[in-house]
Amino acid sequence: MSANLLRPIKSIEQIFRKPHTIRFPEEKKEISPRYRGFHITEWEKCIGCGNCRDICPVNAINMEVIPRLKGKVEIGENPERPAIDYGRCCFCGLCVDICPTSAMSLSQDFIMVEPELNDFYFISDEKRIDKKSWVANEEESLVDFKRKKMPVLSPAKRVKSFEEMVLGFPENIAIAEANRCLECGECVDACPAHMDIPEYIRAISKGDNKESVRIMYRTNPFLMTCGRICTHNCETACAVEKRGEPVAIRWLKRYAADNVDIKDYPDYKVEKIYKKPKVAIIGAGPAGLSAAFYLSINGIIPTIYERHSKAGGMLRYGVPPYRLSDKELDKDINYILSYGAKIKYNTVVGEDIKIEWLLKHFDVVYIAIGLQAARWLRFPNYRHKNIYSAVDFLEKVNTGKKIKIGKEVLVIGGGNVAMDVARSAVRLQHMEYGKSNVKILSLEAMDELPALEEEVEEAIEEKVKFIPRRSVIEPILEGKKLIGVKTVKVTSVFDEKGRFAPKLDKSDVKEYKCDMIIQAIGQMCPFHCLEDIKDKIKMTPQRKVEVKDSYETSVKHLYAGGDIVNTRMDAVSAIATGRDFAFSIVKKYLKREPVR
Amino acid sequence: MHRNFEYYIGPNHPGIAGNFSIKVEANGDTVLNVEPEFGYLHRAFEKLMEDNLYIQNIAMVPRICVPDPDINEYCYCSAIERIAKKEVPERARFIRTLVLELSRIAAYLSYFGGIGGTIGLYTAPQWSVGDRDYILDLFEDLTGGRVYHIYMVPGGVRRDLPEGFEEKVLKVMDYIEERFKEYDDLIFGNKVFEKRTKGVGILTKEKAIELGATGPVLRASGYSYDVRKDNPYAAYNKVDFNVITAEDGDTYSRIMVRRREIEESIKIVRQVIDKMPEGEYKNQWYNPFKFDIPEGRVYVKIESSKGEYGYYFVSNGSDKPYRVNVRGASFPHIVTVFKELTKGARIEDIALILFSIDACPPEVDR
Repeated sequence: MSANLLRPIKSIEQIFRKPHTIRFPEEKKEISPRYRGFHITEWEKCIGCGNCRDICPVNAINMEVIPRLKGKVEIGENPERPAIDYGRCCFCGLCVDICPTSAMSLSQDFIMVEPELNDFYFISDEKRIDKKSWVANEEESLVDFKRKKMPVLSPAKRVKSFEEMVLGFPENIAIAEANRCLECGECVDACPAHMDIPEYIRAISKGDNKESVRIMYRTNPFLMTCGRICTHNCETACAVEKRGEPVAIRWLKRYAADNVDIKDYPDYKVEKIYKKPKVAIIGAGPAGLSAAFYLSINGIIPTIYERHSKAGGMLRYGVPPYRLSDKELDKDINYILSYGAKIKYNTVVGEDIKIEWLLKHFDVVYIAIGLQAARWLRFPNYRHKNIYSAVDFLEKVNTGKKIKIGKEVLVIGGGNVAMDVARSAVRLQHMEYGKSNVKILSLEAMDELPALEEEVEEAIEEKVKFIPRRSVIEPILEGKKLIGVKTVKVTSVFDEKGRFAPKLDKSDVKEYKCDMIIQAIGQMCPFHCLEDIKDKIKMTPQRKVEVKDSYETSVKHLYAGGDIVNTRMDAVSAIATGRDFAFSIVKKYLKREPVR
Repeated sequence: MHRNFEYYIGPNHPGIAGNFSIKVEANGDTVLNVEPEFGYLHRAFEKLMEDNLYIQNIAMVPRICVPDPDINEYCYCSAIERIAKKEVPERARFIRTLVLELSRIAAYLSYFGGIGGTIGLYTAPQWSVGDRDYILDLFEDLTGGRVYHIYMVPGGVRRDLPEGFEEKVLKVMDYIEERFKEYDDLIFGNKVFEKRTKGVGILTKEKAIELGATGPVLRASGYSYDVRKDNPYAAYNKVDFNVITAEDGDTYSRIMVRRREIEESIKIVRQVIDKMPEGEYKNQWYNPFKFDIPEGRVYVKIESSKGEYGYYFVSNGSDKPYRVNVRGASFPHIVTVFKELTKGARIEDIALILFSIDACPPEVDR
């Protein structure tokens, strides 16, 4: 390349070219469709989880409580929305990439002129919005929306016995699944027991199952059980669930509990056993046992009165063994009872022992009797020997008593219990006849079923047939033999206000063949055991026992918990009431904070 | 007989590349000694990294070198990938190579502007900064940011190539190639430029190796060493390019090595676009809040526009880096090489010599 004094002069032709520069503001630069400018937060999508705040490298995001959203958000949401300090923001867009609900995006807007310093800090909403540019779809997001696969028995294999169908995570998959958790804690509010979910999942992801179990026992003494049969409200509230599959919180709990030996369970040092208060608990179900556990680790040894010969209540007699076997339940119960709670088995309150006597001899009486009595659809001949209630049927299944299972079984109901009953019937039929024929008849349409979606899916996998939107009016009998049912069409189940008020179309009659009917339409409380006291107990409009914050009923020294109090009737809610009752007793009588 | 004078140049001076200063001791016009004084831009990046989550540092590391930021992102991500022993998809490797080369071209363009400025050819900065903006436009399309791209993450890149991006890149490459004919007329073929740079600030091959010079500074002294060739990373083993060297080791050679390297970079960009494989653009094996990085230590080196650029990275298995040490290529250049070059130089050449080694103060101070 030869240097020459004249060569630069060629550049003079630049004068005749168009300039690089843009004459702003007359001329506008075209902003790229991926530009990272000011934030846009879509408030309807935002759940206030705070993941954007947590990932922000420069602490520019603050979650501010929005007064008008208070009390209006659903479970699993916070009334908080991100406020951004543009004095700090570095426009990296990590907040967008981590947002599990895709509520956040960055815009093409980048010009801000404000007179006051504080004007650069504001709650990002759709006020000052240009076009959305930096967005994160499922693939681009930093969140892992895909759940790790849980090994289960194939439908063909599992219907042959009552063997547990879910096999549990192996270690590497459990850790990978635990690593999906963003630790925003939306699940904690949704869990009836308010378990410290992010904490115990973090312990699992670090491989420390013992620590994880210790964290769980702070709030829940039924790990093996809840790890299997919990209704997992936490997963519904999971922030990842909004766009993908939630973290498998329930299976992770199960994994941790399964892999810690009972020897390595937390060791509570009970320093002093208190003589007072004397506590009697009626019913050794989830509520009663959870109360007993938290009382005994605090030095109050209760006496439990149980109707059956084994503890566990509905967990033992109402949950089919393919979901929760006795072995796992016994691990939980043995640990609970290892702290000294006394159980009087085969004692029916109201028959063997009077409630007045209990109230006289104990300082605190806790009723946790649950809903043991079956509710019946009282159509003609409903007391036929081939018509069962779900409670009786499941109790027989669980205690291994012989049931003459029909060849064509009809289950009435659309809840989780109906699924349990139908799937147990499928297994009994396979063991008896080698094939199955079970139908579930429900008032609700398929998409209205109150049962958990996964339960319905698994029932369908096991070849359970569904007859939605029908109502039984009477069984068809041939002599004394049950041969079928007559049903009518249901036009709607709920009224405009969402209340349960089924409307029937009596002209549309259809018959279905069956030789066995199991009614799974709900349960009620066997209040008769409370005798005279029953009339003194105040009830709520939903026919539940009214209790104060301390779980004391309108009768002094008489406390209640579990399904007879809860509107949400699942195991974990019962466990939560039992625990909270125990804590309230510790606070009231021992005047100190409870050990947990 | 002249008296010795001390001159304080910088930290803010048009002839100084960024925020640092030099103390010049001169006798008349002849420089006796030069003391670089740095630390004006110390922002404790290395220390701050220890307090941030792995993912949060992605937004900070590009700030260690402003004109050529992507090298930091690459080193940081590559170090994590190597400690965690995770694969990066082929497409991500190619996209990273593309980003690194575009960044190198942008860095050289702003460098030529600086050269023009120090010689007094003030048209050059106008041109090169204007042309650099076309590359920044490409970055805006690809990464959403113009200067700090925050584009690479451990395991790949954050977004796939947008639609029609390849054509845009090729168009800009054609444009820059055309423009370089005009640059040759204006700067590199200018008699003034040649007179000012030839024979000024000579660094011999032996001295260059002894003083730890790397990159264009070393290559201009006749030693062929380029990390892209000798220790290929990203997708550099899949592309064909030459390592440019010059023999003289003077300021002219150092500038011309870079001038010719731009052509090689354009060649690499074209090949990368041509060979860009289909497939995944990231392999995300981690949760951004809970990196599962095992304990370990690694040194990652790459070829930046300034020279060999490296991260020494130590992980103790927690969710934050235990220690990150940045080996800025400019550090030996500014501390030792610059001192050597200015021995006996004339005072008006100081700024030019300083620019010829293309020092970047943020990576000296970290």
